[in-house]
Amino acid sequence: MRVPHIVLIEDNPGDVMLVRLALEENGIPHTLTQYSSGADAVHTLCDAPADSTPVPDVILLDLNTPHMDGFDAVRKFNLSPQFSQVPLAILTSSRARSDKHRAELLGARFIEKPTQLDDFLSSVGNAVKEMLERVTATL
Amino acid sequence: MIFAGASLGDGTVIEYCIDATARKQAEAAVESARRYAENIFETLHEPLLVLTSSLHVHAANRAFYEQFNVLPEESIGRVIYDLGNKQWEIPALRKLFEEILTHNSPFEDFEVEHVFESIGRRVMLLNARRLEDDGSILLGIRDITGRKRVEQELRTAEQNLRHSNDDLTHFSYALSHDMQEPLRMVVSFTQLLARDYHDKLDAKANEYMRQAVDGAMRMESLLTDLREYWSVSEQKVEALVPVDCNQVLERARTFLGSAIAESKATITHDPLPTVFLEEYPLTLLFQNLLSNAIKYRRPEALPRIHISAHRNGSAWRFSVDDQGIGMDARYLEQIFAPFKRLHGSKYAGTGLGLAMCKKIVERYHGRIWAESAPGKGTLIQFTLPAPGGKA
Repeated sequence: MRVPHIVLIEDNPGDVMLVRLALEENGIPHTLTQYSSGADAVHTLCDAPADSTPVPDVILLDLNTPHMDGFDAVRKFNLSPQFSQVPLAILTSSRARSDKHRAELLGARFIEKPTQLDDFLSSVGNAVKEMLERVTATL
Repeated sequence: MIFAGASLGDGTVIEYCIDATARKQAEAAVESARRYAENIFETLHEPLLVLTSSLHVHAANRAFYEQFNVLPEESIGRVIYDLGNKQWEIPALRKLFEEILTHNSPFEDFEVEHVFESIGRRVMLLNARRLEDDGSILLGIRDITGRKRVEQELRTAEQNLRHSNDDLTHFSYALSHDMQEPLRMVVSFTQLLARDYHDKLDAKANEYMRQAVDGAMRMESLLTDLREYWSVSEQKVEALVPVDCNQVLERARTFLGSAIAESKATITHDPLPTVFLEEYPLTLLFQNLLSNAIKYRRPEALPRIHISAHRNGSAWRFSVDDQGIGMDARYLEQIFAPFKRLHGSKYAGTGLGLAMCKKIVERYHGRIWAESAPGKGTLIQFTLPAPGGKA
């Protein structure tokens, strides 16, 4: 079976390590491409000629990365013919209901980053697992 | 009595007398009334003018001369519009005088701001009414320059205060938000260290890490409470919706699941009403009250908490009875103030729980208070508006 390709848009090195750990400890085989900003990711992925970049299975993006608000990045991906079908999750330490609501309106999953290590690992791991299962189910 | 006589020429003399007492009395009464009016006219600190129907100055009181720094010869007999540097030559004022003369309709508080000849820029309020049928007019002038200035200063001060308060609120909100991220890193990586290097570290090092995580977690609860406190006190009331308090209480219980399980608390309640408010703040309210009731339980007994509600006119009065450790009545006022903690570090907490409850209740114009005695438990009561009423 093909190894799932995950795009992670996250500028905090600590969180990149924690997300990797969550994938590993939850036994999720993966290749991971990381971008430090939403603008970077959108530029590299959406603006590149079709077929030149592999379409990921899941996109995880932090709400606050430099140059582009996470919601704007979601909108760009939604508009791209190649990426509009890719399941997307917003990772954030925001507990604001308004942010959650906005994410849902954009069709994105909302994953709060819990403070406790165990909670973080299980919450990110479970969310990614579910998203990947849904992808496989629709194939 | 006035006696008079007249000779008719034929030797007869007619003597007669006139009773002049009544006239004398009438004259005295008029004089007394005049003095009475004059005394009032002169005693008042408010400048007053009596104008003729042709709007010439007929009389002015001492306050007028003093306040406008003018002499009688500069004023008496002159048309009002020619006084000073024509400060009263205002079309709107002209119209008001015409109204008085033609319709006998008085005017009040006509505001004039003007640079007066001898006293500089002033704000005056004019009041006028017709005195007599001959058309004379009494004009009262009040200098409100000082009051206006104080009002303006007050407005500016209030505005500045509001701005700095807004700044402070935004600052504390941003701070509590932005501190969350680095704090999460501290907790996660210390826990990772403890988890992965547990065997390589001795007991002391593990204890150090436990303390570090404990401190960071306490800071996190403080930040969370600060944000919640901020949201219930600063964010505008959203759309009001029907909120079933039985369900809200259930949700609060779910949030407090582990604390309830650990303490083996029994929570009972009477049927609770549906109110038209906001769901989230109400959940926070019950959550904080339950959490407090569990926290301050008596060590020798399992916590029993009962919630009830009574309709009291246009409001619901809720009661949360905890049968816990209670407190001395003299602390009852303090417990709703932010960061007021009666028990120090013996009980974990941020000192914002009850302060938040107060903010939530006041958000809906309700009231919250407590009754307590040491060892007798605490009864916290609060009011919320009943549908169609005010709390």
